Amino acid sequence: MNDLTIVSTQSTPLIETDSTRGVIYMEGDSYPENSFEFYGDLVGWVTAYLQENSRPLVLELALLYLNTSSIKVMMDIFDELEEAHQAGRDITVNWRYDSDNERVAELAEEFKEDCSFSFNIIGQE
Amino acid sequence: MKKNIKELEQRVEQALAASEYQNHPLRDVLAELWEYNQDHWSRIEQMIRLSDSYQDMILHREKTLGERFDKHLRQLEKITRISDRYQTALREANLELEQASYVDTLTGLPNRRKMLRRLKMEFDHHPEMISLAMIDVDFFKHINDQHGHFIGDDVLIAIGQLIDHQIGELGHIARWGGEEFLVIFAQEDVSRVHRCLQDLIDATAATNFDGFAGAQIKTSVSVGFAEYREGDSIDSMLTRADDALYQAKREGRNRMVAV
Repeated sequence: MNDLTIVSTQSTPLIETDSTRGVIYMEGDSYPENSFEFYGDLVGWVTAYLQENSRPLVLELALLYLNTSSIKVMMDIFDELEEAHQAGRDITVNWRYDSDNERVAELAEEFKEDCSFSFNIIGQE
Repeated sequence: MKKNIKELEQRVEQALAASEYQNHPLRDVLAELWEYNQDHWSRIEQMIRLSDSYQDMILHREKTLGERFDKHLRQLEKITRISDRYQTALREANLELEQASYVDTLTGLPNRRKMLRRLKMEFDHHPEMISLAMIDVDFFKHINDQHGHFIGDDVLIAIGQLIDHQIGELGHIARWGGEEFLVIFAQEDVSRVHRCLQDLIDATAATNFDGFAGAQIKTSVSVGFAEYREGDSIDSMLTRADDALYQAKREGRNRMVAV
């Protein structure tokens, strides 16, 4: 399947996928003008990955600020991952943040609340 | 009731199968009625099955709609919470920035921007009570040249504190520029203000400021003082205070000139 490489801008995060290793990497701020359009490819990639194989999926996140529509998109993705996990899929989220920025940890906690898979919020110096 | 029907059905089937009734005139009638009855039953069963599957479908649909509704509600609640938290953080950051924008980072005193606001406010309320003191550190460049900028900064901070302390409740201080401080007074008793400023000049001259490695630094301040005059604007008062300051400098520094 086609992997994604979307370079970051001031208002959009870096997005990289690696279907052979089963990893999604996202880093940066997210306040695009149209989040649903911007994340369309990623949402499609996740759905396709989950359909095409039964291998584990790891999300390596270093997201900072998310606007409301980005939050909605991420929630939908996490919901889809949760469904897959309920069906037996191995899912892991590692959300890294700067220890000085507790606000990011609070945000990550909100997402974690609805997920039963391994969801690690990792503060870094 | 149901048992009786079963029994009746058996009896009908037996009668239709019995060889002695094969030529009975009523046998054909019974056979036809039996067939009609069977047909009827199967149609009813079919309708029941159809109705059941309809009910299943509706129930499932309601369940799906319910699940979707719950999911959206859960997401909405979460988004609202996150959004509220962002707004609070933004509001706090704004307040912090606003506060910071009024403070001089070196001395921690109100800055020029803050002073301009205060000047405007005091001018709007009671211009006739206002007087200004422009205070400049004498030969500050020498201190910087001789002792370095870090010591120069320390002296500036110390003088700022000294002025702030001497003025007390009488007026409001701000760092106006490089080594210049501006104090605004809203005092009808000008002689009290003059005494206060003279005390400040004397106190500064008497103070040993800390230099590098225990060195003592002596300095002084010059003050230009301007009282409100009929027709004054903020600018014209500031200009007069500036002029008075330069006169004090020309007359030998470490003194106040009032105009």
